[in-house]
Amino acid sequence: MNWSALQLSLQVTLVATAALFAVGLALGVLLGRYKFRGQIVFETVIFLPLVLPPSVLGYFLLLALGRGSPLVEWFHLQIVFTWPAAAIASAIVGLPLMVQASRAAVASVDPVLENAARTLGSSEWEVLWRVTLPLARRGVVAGLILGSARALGEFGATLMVAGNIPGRTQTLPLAVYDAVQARRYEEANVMLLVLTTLAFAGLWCVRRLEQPAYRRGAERR
Amino acid sequence: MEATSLKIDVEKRLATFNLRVRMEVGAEILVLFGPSGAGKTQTLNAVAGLTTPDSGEISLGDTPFFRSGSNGHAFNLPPRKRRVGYVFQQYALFPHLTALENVAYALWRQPSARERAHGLLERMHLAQLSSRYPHELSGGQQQRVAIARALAMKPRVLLMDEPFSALDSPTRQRLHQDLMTLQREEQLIVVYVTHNLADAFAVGHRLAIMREGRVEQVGVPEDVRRNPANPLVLAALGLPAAGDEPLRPE
Repeated sequence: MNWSALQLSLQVTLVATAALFAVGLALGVLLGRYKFRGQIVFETVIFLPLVLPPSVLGYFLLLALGRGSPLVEWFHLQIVFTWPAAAIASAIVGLPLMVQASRAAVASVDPVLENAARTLGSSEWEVLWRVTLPLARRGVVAGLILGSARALGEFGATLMVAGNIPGRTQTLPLAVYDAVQARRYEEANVMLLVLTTLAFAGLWCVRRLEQPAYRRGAERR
Repeated sequence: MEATSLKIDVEKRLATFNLRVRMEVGAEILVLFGPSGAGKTQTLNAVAGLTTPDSGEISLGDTPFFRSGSNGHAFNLPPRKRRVGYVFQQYALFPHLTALENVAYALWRQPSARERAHGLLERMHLAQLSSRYPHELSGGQQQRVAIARALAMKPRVLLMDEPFSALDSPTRQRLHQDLMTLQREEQLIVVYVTHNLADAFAVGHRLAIMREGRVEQVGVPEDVRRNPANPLVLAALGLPAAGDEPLRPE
């Protein structure tokens, strides 16, 4: 078992998940509750990572984070070929899944309930935290799990922007590739088991969240 | 009795008609009666601040709720600052909160929120159901929770949109009695929307007949019935248009 790759994968996924929660939820609320000019273009850009070749996405990230980018020129932050670059790549590929799920969940909350909260003295911020998000929580959590699972499995863009440096940027999916190339099948098998189990567990949770739970029917009135 | 009254004088262009409502409501139960799509709910929403009229004025005593200005600038008090109790058509209880938590919703910053909420539930004869979720309550019980929730912030105005339309008639009668007692004790200004004539006559101190966004006639129910202002009111009341004294049995 490649322990350093496992540790790095968990580290990258954890950071990516935190970013997904903050950014993805904010975008989900924005898109689920408001209409604005240029919304379709905006959404399309967010969803691009779903269909772009990972290499293309990776190259975009190199342009955005690498030499000549504002990050390097103005802030002297060199993150290309470090694990934070892998975390950024992972978050970006997970983002469409998180945004899609949380947007649908937020949009499905009955606006009358939000209006009721307003007449009961709630500010828009309170309505969001005390009514909208609690009622949308299943979809939000499902989106977060899907996004994290996708982030954990990220390969192509990570390879482009973070490289494949054992112990520094080599995550589990990259380590599997290396192990198979080097015909270290036993090592590959263990990592396969770990990744498959995590993916299965994640998707199982998402399916469970989609199932009508004992209180679900009533939640929708 | 306080002299505070709710003044409504608004216009709003809607998809199918223009809403044009002008009335003054004191401490009484004013029934807005009319077919669906007459603008009754829109009127309530305008008072609660959930819809913005195109022009006009809404005020409660000295407190302005809405006032349109000359150059498109309008004063518009947000719903949360109007302290208007609103009982929605489908109750609109928060499904993720228990009956007690629903009633305590508006009081969450107050230290004695739970006690007060419990007191309100008790008053609505629901004390023993306080830990139930809305879906574990009957329609009539949900309605009582909705009223208790609306009363929690001690509103001067209570808006009710078809409050008892989904309930069976014994339950309705009981709730009508409770509502009338409540109104009298708290000197509430109640605007009660319904398309059910029996409900309208059962609770209304005054009746306002609405059709296609306009108030056709306002008056004590008996007067409206005896002296309908025009054929539209006759039709709204479901009375035959022909004949001069349709209600007087000869």
